[in-house]
Amino acid sequence: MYESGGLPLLTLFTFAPVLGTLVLLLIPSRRADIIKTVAAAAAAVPMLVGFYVFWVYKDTGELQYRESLLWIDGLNVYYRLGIDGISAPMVVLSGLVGFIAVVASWGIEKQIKGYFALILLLLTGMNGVFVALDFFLFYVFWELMLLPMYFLIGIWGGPNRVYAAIKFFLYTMAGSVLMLVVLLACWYWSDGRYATNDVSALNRRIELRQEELGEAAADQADVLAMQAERHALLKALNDAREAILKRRFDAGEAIDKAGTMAPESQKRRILKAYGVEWTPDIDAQLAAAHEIYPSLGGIGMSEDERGLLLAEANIELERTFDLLELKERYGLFLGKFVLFRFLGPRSFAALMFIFLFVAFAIKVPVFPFHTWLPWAHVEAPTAISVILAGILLKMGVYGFLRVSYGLFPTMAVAYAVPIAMLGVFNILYGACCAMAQDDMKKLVAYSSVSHMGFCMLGMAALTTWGLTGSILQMFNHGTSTSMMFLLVGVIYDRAHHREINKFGGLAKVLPVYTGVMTLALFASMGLPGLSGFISEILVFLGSFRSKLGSLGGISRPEVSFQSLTVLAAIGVVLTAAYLLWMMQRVFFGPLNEKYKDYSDMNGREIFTLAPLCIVVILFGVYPQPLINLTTQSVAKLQRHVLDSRGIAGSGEKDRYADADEESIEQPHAPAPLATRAPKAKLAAQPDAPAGSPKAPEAAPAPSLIKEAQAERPEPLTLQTGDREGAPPGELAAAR
Amino acid sequence: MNWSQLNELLPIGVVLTTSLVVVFLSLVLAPKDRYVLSLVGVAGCILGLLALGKNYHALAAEYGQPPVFFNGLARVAEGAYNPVLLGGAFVVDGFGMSIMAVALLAGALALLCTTPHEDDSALSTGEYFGLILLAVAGMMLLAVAHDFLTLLISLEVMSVATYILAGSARRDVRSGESALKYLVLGAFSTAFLMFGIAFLYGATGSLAMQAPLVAGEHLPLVKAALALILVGVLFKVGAVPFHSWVPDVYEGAPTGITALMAVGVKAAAFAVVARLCFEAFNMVKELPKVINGHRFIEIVYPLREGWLSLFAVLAILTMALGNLLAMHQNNVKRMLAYSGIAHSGYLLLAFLVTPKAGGAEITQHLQAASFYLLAYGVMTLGAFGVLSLMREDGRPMEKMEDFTGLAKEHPALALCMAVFMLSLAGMPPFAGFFAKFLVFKSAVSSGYAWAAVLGILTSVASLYYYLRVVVRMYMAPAGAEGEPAPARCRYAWTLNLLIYGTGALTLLLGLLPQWLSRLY
Repeated sequence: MYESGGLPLLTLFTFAPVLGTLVLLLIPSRRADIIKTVAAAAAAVPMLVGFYVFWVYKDTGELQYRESLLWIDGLNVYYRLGIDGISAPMVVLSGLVGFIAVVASWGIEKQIKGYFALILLLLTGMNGVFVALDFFLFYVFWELMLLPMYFLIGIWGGPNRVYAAIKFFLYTMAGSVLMLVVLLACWYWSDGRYATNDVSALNRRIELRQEELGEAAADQADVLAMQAERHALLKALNDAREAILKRRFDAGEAIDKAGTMAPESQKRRILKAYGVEWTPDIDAQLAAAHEIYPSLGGIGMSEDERGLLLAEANIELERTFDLLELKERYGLFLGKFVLFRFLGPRSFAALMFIFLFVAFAIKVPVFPFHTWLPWAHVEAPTAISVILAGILLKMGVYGFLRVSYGLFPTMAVAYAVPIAMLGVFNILYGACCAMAQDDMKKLVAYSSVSHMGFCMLGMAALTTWGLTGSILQMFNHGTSTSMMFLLVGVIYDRAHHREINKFGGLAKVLPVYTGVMTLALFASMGLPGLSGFISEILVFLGSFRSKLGSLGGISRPEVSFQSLTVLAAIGVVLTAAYLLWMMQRVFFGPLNEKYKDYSDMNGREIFTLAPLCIVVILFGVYPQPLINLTTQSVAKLQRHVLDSRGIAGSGEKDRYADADEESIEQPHAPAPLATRAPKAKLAAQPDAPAGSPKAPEAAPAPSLIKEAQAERPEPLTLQTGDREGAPPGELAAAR
Repeated sequence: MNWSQLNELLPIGVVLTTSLVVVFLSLVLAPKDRYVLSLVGVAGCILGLLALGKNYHALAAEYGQPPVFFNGLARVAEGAYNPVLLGGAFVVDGFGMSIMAVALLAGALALLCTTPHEDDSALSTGEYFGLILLAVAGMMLLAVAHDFLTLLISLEVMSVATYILAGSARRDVRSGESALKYLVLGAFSTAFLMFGIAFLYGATGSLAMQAPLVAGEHLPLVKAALALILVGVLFKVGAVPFHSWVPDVYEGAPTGITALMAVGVKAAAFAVVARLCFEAFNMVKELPKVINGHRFIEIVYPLREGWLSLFAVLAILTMALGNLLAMHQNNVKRMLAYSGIAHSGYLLLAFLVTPKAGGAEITQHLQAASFYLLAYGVMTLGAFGVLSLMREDGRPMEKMEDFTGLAKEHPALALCMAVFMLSLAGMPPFAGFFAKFLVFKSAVSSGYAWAAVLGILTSVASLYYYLRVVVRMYMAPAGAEGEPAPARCRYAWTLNLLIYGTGALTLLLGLLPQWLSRLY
């Protein structure tokens, strides 16, 4: 069912390309012109949807444009699509870069029909990943993308294409398999029969064990584990009850909207869409939900009252693949342990987080899982390199934000420093490797490794600026690297090689090309005024402010992220070094006589690059529209992750004491980035609740950069709301 | 006896009749018209499928749905469908019907694989087609056999026919080798089975599937009997350590017969595994409790308790060994044989249940197993179909190299082959992925997560050798000897049609798996 009525926008976004594939298969291979036109038309649909989303989408932190349809009955698998502020920029990026890549493939001569059929299939897979809300569906799209990519590299690639294709395929497949394990495990653990009996039984077990152990009990691992489990249980009970009531509430609203006189079949359909079972007295139940839910929603109800309400509940949760639902149930994963014969019990959540980390890290790619990338990039045809760097790599970071951070928020906090360290290593290692390359494409490939490190760093920092910067970096790197790959393709089409040292003085014969290349390089380098700058500076500021974790037990937790940020900043210098050096060798110096007859870029090449140039300059000067797409969702994700510490149990609390203090100092909820007026101090806006869907429209030009440069002393981290009540009483008792 | 019950066995009757018709028809047909025989045989298979579908619909209309799996312990409610036929000799339940359908599909492909211009005259005699149909009938009987006597007879009907068929390419030395190996080892395994059945009869005085229930003080003997029976059945399945015959026999037999063995025989044998696991392995233990003169009994499941881990270990070994050995094969047919072993391992995972599993759980596991069998059947049949089309100057082309450039020469066939390979490897969105997913899911939900994880890992390893075929077809490494020789295929419209059909079905089952599960 399409919940908002009207055109199923995201289905269109996802499946328009594959429809194009089907049409292509009916066209005879010799009509190359028709094939290309159809392919471009099919790829233009997602781009238009992307533009539409960019204009119309108002971020509220909730999933929008949702569609849901039962897909596989017995397994509770749904076809669920939707976008929020994290996926919206990716939708825009994927639509744009996908179309450009199709147009940039005009020069393909070998098996044109197969090529365009596959590239359209590839677009479907990638678009699907960015909008899927069901873990199963997400996985299917994730894998679906793999096959066409494999063939595109393996058939249309360079001399080493088969090796590159297989390497790409096996690396990614290894990652997806780990994801499959997580998928199965999360599905399996996502059910639960939680009654208050379970909690009291646990209480008894804890008491017994404590008696047995005597004084030392408080530190015993199994007691701590049981306590953590108890917290998880309580939280799960609460969440489950709320989720069920919320669903019923929503279903009731939807039925009201349909009108009380609506036919019963329609009512049933609505109920099914909300996952509510039909029973004869459903109307009464829905009415009850109407009354209860707002009161559960927090208006004047204390924890105790809530507990009383829950005491009657004996809730049975159905197993599910729904990412949103799983996100709500993350508490279920915390108390679980996986028993290894030799390693002893290991936290289920930690294990799953690591599995997912590897799955997504291979895609990003994070060192040491990056070795497929240079091969794939170098061997792939230009347009495929563009898709690889422009969209595919983003799927990794997107996966982190959507799946890992959603399902295992406590682990995101616990592993923040290691992830950030890997990110910083990526930045430096990628930059150093790039500097050593002679092949232009390989250089750009390694620069991608380096730039994706910024995404990792910003993401790990878990501050508003860090997360925003990370998402922006995904978008900006997507555009600037696409430009670079296209430009390398342009010169390769003329020279049939990419050796940096064999060029020289090209600026004289190819002025337009040189100009565009300069723009791309500067954007990638992070020159102020171009898009790369905004995201990098946001990542730096965000990670510098992060107070998660500590290196080697240093008492000041902020030191770890601060030192990492300083290291990361070296990466910017290295980036400038390798890019400028490359530029110098290719465009300046004496002109290589071989190249003096080269024609400058033709119309098609300019056509593919022009939109990216506009985007790079536009979002460099005025990034606010892009930031507006994400603010509320970033705030929500951040809240979700940081709040989870409250129930993470035992030892975590003290370590993050400082970070909490900061939040508590400011009980008011600050306005999200987008809505902050340029000069207003945070304290002056006590009344704008974070996450409120009706946040005031953006004030004109609140230029983030200016704020950043002014080094305002206030903590700009978006707060997590009222945190005083957050650590449950149980936890205090446990300590 | 209620003769109307025989209606449920009509599909088997149709196939048996067709086999006789084919044999007699071969006497009157001129040798060059022998291809008509295979078409008649296929028509018989289609008729059988139609009869099966009609029966199913009739049952669905009358009783709702037939039970997925009939457990001999269950009491059939008044007015509900009673699947027990002929005094307990057969039981036609949903699971049995799905296995019958797989056997019929396999038979149709085996018939078509050897159609028109086969050079070996032995392959196109009437007996050859008759025997294929007889083997199919045996498989169908095995799928619904419900006591040990019918089980043995139908197993032998199936096996003897396949022994002969494996050796039917008389001019080919490998075919003879294949037949001999199959015969000797097969007879050996049947001996185990018969010993088991004899022990069981000696201990309990019954040949019914539930005979072990009345083991009484002969429990040790019954356990030994069940172990022997299991050996006999696992041999047919091709599970480690009873797998060694598989590669040689599969490689040597004519391709159509290999497909029949890889799909039909395996499906039928798994039907027996299911009947054994979920029905025969129940035993009653008397409890010392006596209340009001009633003695209390408890049903224990020896397989589920003591032997379950053994089953899991066998499954893992089968998967690992099959996949590892398949990697080094240069002959695609032999590679598919090893991959068949690996798939038996995955299938065995579906039979891991929690010790006290109830009806609903068993149903889920069986649904996973039968979906897997159907998906595996469809894609393996397709792959063997493509393989049997590939020949040059009457010489079958089965080597990896022979696939070089197939994508250029025959794009549609290559596409289908790629789909089969990727589906066998378990890539979404094809049927193979969903089948594996269901099996792993059922293993996880009965507490065998480690087995599932190992299974997933071996399935990644399997990707390597499936991809080798795809690489050969689509991206043959830039020639050391210049342009690679294009692969040659003969053309047979019926077989091509069947291959496209299975290709489409592979995709369809992956996209809409619930379409099938509605049948239950």
